Amino acid sequence: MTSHAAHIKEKAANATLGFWLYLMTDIMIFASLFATFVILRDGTNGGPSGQELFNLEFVMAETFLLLVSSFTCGLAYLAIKHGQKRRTLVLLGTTITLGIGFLSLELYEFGELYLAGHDWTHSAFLSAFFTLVGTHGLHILIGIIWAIALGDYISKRGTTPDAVRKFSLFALFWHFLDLVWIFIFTVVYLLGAIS
Amino acid sequence: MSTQSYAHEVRQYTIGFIGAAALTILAYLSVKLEWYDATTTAIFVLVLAVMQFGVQVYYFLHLRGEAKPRWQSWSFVYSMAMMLIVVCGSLWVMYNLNYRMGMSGEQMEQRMLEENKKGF
Amino acid sequence: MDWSWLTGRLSADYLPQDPVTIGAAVGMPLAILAVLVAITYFKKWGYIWNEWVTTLDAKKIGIMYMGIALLMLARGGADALMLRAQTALEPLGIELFDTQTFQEVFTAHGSIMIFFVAMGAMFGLINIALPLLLGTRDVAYPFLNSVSFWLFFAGMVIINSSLVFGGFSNGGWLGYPPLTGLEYNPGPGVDYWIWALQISGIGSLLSGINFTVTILKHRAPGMTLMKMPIFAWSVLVAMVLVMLAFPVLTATLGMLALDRVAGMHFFTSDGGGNPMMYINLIWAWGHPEVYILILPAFGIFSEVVATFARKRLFGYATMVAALIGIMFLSFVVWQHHFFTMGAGANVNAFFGIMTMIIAIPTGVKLFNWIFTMYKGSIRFTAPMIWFMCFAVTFTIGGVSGVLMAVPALDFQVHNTMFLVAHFHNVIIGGVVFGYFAGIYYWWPKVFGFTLHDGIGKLAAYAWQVGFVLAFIPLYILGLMGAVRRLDSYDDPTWQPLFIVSGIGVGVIALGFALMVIGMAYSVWKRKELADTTGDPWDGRTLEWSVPSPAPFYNFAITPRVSHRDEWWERKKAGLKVPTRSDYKDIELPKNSALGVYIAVAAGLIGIGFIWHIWWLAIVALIAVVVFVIKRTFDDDTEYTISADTLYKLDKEARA
Repeated sequence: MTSHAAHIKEKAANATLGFWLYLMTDIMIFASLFATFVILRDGTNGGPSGQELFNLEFVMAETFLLLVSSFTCGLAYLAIKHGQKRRTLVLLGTTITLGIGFLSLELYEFGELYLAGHDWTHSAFLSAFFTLVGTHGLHILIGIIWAIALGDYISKRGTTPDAVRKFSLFALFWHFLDLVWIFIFTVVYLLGAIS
Repeated sequence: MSTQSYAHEVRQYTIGFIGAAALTILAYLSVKLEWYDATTTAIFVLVLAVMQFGVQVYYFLHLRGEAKPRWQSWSFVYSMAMMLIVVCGSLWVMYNLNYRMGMSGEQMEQRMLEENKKGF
Repeated sequence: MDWSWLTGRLSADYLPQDPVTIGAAVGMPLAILAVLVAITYFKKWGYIWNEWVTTLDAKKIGIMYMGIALLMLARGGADALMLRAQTALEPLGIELFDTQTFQEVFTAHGSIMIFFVAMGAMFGLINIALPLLLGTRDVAYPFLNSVSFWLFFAGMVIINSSLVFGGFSNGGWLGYPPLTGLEYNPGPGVDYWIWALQISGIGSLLSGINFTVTILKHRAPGMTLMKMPIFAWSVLVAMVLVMLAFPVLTATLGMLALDRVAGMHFFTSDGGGNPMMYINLIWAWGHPEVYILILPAFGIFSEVVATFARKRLFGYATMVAALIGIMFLSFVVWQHHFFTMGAGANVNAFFGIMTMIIAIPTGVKLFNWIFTMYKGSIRFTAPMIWFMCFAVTFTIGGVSGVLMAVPALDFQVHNTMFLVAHFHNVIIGGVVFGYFAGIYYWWPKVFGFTLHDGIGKLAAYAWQVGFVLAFIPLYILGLMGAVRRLDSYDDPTWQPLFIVSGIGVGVIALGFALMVIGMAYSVWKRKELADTTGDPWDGRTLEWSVPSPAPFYNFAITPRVSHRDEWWERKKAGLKVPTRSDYKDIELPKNSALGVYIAVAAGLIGIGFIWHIWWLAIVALIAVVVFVIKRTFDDDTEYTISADTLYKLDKEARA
């Protein structure tokens, strides 16, 4: 291997570890928000609890949009690793679309709550709910912007080793967000719905 | 890269996807159809969540594919451990504080009298 | 037409009202203006932009961190002088400050000292020393390093601008709600505090990732983990703590900000909120934070003691084990900061026992340093004097900590001057003395001449005497019942102790002045004090194998490592002169302005949130995203230095 190629490989390994460590720090942020949510979930200030507010079918729809997008993201990563530019872009586009779908449903859910007067200023429970789920949603938004920029990069510069490296980091991020969602789905919605 | 390994890789992702989807549906049904009582259901869905977490980490994040020294694996294990300490520790401390500091003055006085009766 | 959306809640009401604050608010901008005028007059803008603002060289970034840290030390120290002057003189009927100002001063004092002096000096020294000690050229992510520094700088600007306009928080350096919530503190002071910490905190987090990957993946070939200098181990452990703890701070400050800006109820006393949760979370960060500060200082002492005792460090493996032990334990003790908040005996006992256990690995380290000195050939240079002062001072502070680890005892002294004495004892004795030792030890490597040793030692003595005078009385006062953060005390028998304490701060100020004078004098006499060999201390580790000041590429030839104390072993075996074929092409990062642009935008997000100028926050946020994406599209971020050029540069540097 030439020293330049070795240098690129080293940069890739470098970038992966660094990004992975960043994801660990993101876990700690979500952990803090989760712990706060659990502590404050009974602080409904006389208002409604999760049981009254959450629509499980709706949440299932959100969950599957995100899960499928995680799958298509994985397939897109395989495509770019194997140098298949068109396939990568199609699968990436699907991932982005599903992500936008997820976000739309979530915004709709938030909007409904807000219009019904159950916004974040009414109780500690609602503050914690909107912040925890909203922070996840914000990460999804950042992921979507990243994916669009990445798509632009790949369409302009092709499936170079640099592009593969950049994609692997995006894929890590996107999968990570689905991992966090497992716990939001379970702890916030499912546990909230149990009587 | 061989098409064989490509197909293998796709299969890995598909298994992961189906596994995660099944675990999700299972959790949802157990709550919706009220298979168990409240506490058991709660434990059930939490266990399913941890299982799905494992499935996704294994099939989507390929934690096992790493070359030695396995910094990503070790940092993952350590971070999970510290996260659990901070979360569980916080829950323990806060439940304790909420309980003790949430009672009325008379209730606290009653409680201290009883505790003192038990001696040191 | 309603223009309030444009200017948020900016208003002339927030201009300073009392003479002291007005003085500072006028003086500081004038001083900055003078500097800007001087730079323009001497036509140095190009130099500053190209050599400093856009540099990705860790050594220069380190120097900038140190400069800011020392500047902030002056400001935090001035705050301390004000506080002790108030308590010393108040019984005589002289009230220097009203209560609100006093509260803002101790809040600023603590916040500045922890976040901008201690963290700044730590990152500064790590940037300067770590790559050199590891035998590598730079950190893992040089661009991220620049972003981290400029975020730190942005936080510093925010906290200092509160002095000029708006006033600072009065809520203490940790800002407990509900006092810092919207209901009791609607003004911009607390928001200044939140955003200065939040922005510089993200810089710290990114540095945590950066230095960890540097240590794990960028050591010189042959340098296994168990062969790397103990300083690197201490940095590794500290950075693991940074990565796990700082996100908790980010989340908690974020929630407080949401309470204040969006009317949420996380930590309010109504609406179901729980202020105790804030205290729990903030200390879950806060305790690891103090270990983050002290561990690199321990690492510096490991290097200093071995070097100036001319003896290899005693018990390398147990030092590593102790560091790892502290890394784990520092995450299971945080509740000891609020024993008195009302938890039951079981909870208090668990955390109390854990706190006592964590003293053990620290003790192991202290004994190892002493055993290193035993039968060593000791030279009492300034860094060694700092170590001796540390050994005595820190031990006292540590012991007072173990004392407070017993919940029943803590109930007597919590939030009294005893507590204040304890943490200053360990921070000054440990963190400050350690980083000062690092400054005197590595100064020649950075600047090419040593600091005048005699003046340095005098400064150390002044700090030591000043510390004793300033803080031992506080232990006594605390035991007698003096509560912290008060601007006046009723008991006249306490006044003599407060006066002694006030004198002590003055002696510390003398110590600081001596350091600055020593630096200025050494710059003046730099030819006489020049380090001509690159190895002024007859050192043991790789940084002493390169010329002083260290060249921008650090090592012309990547060293191959086979031992601990590699440089010492090489000198013993006899140094070989490198041949032309030993030199290879190297790649170094190009300069970049995006680091400072990102930080400016981040700072403007903070300003937007502080002053409720929402359009500014949104535009600045978009700017950050744009700058980051711009950087990721840049594939041409490095430049090559040919082996020929390297050979020439190295020959010149070593001549």
